[in-house]
Amino acid sequence: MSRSTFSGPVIVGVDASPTYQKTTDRVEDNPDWGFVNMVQSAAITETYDNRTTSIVIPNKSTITRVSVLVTTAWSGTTTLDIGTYWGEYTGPDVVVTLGADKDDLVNNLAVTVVGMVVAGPGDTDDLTGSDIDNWMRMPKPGETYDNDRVITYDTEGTVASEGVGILTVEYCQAVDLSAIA
Amino acid sequence: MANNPHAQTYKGSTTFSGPIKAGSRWLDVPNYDRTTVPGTIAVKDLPNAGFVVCSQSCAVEQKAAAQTATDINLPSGSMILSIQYIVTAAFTGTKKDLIMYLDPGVPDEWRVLTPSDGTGGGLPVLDAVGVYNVTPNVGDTRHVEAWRNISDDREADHVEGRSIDVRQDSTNDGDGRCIVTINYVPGMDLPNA
Repeated sequence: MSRSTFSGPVIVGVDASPTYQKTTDRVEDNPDWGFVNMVQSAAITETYDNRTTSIVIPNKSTITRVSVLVTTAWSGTTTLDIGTYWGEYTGPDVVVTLGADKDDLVNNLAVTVVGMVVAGPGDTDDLTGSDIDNWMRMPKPGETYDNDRVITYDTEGTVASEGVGILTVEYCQAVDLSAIA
Repeated sequence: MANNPHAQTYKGSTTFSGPIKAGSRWLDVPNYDRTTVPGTIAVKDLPNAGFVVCSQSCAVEQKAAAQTATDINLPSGSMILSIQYIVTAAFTGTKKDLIMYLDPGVPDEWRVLTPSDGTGGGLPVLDAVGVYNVTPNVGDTRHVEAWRNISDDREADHVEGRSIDVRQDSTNDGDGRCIVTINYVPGMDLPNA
């Protein structure tokens, strides 16, 4: 299968309306361009410690969905944290501590049953401080390291077991919603 | 089937063979393939291109005929992200269900994309107009793995590069009508875990 790659962000619409004035123009004259939803996925397993994935989220992206397709259920400690890393990268599935926040995006996502698990309010309502802003803009405004982030995962606990899944992060590239938040 | 919306010509349409990828860096690091990293790289210098999400939709009627054809045909190697039913007329009869299948071209090798009645949890009862988000067949590894890669090379019917039809099946005929939308990533082609 062939492939087309763009620097992005990819934006699609019909009317550009370069003279658009919000207060005076009619709705049918408004620009209707939207950001294309992007996705990256990585295989993960039930290991302890905070580990890198191969997912790299471009700076200032908006996270639209985080999910895990569980193909073998977690059987030890059965919840996942999903966070970010911004240090020196040597590959996927490497344990990282410094330059990482293990629950930047999701805290205690249950992965106990084979199926699709989507992070929701109960997995994001107890994030530390203003970490919820990482969904609005990756990374959140004011971070010292304001650039791309590698996605990490951490099975809570200290024992590895047989859990297997596909971690998927959906996002809109470089939207930077902080201006309207 | 209703008219196929995918066959229509839209104003200013742009069509790619796909998959479409986008990112501010994708060729900057030689020999980088996401699993093999040549040395140590700062995160800000890593290739960051992701895949574009695509969707196809079809109109379906509540039919008992097994594996009825739909207008959805998914490219080889696709990963399914989500499936949504927009029910515009409530389903009626003894069972008010709708099961979606991958059709690999071999009758005994259907792979269920949605919960199968009686074999898993979460099959929605479509007894009211509304929007239903559908999960894969909870607890069934083979059918969950069909979401990861519709072209699983462990399946007996696997043919490299072949697109796969999606089919529908309700337990009984009825008055139900809905729009089925499948969101997917063409060409992701995730390997077996």
